[in-house]
Amino acid sequence: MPITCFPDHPEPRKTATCALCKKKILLAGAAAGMQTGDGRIAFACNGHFWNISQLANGWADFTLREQYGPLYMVSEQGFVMGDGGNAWTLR
Amino acid sequence: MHGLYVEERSLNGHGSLPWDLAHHMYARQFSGKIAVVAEQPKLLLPTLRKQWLKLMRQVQRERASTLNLLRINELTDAIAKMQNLRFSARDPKDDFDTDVAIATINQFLVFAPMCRTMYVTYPVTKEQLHLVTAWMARGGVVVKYRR
Repeated sequence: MPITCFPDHPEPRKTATCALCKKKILLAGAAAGMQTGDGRIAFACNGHFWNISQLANGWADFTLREQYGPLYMVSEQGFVMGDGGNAWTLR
Repeated sequence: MHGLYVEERSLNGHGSLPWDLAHHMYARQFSGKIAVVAEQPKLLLPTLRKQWLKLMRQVQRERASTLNLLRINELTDAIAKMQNLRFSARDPKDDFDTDVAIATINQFLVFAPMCRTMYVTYPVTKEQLHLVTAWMARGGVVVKYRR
């Protein structure tokens, strides 16, 4: 629910991007989640708490994105490395 | 509470406190130790552990139903972490090395926890909150439950 205090911002932000569904969300309906690679907190919609599939798979995908960066893309079908000619695929 | 994120949560009839704690802790378990300020730690411990084990079984089912290899690896790591998470409702000064320490505000005032996440499940004064969060690392999260 409301994130009322931010270490680096005197004025609380109003919106953030959900780390699980990538939608822009109001911080009034957000929850603090994992830490990003650079030490910031990732936020997620409260609604994901009710769906274990979204909660577990969402944070798993988030960790993968944080580990491998934009080179990688996680999809339902498998794992695709998006690096030009050296791409490899696990499906 | 300098340098900390503060989140205010209310149950509003959706789920119980242990249910909400377990689901919120799922993402926060990877960041480091967790402290739970509770009125009755010995009563909260078994219910929280029950919800935690229930959540773990649901994550195991999710792992069994996915075909994505990397996601399976991530979920395996998460399940291993969940299985090894140690909960304790003993006095923090006797058992300070636990992963999830559950204690009253007075116990934490004697022995301030060094954690990355703190859940405050009942009303405490601002002064008490400032004192117990004194050893928390910058960028930590304090979750306050509203009644």
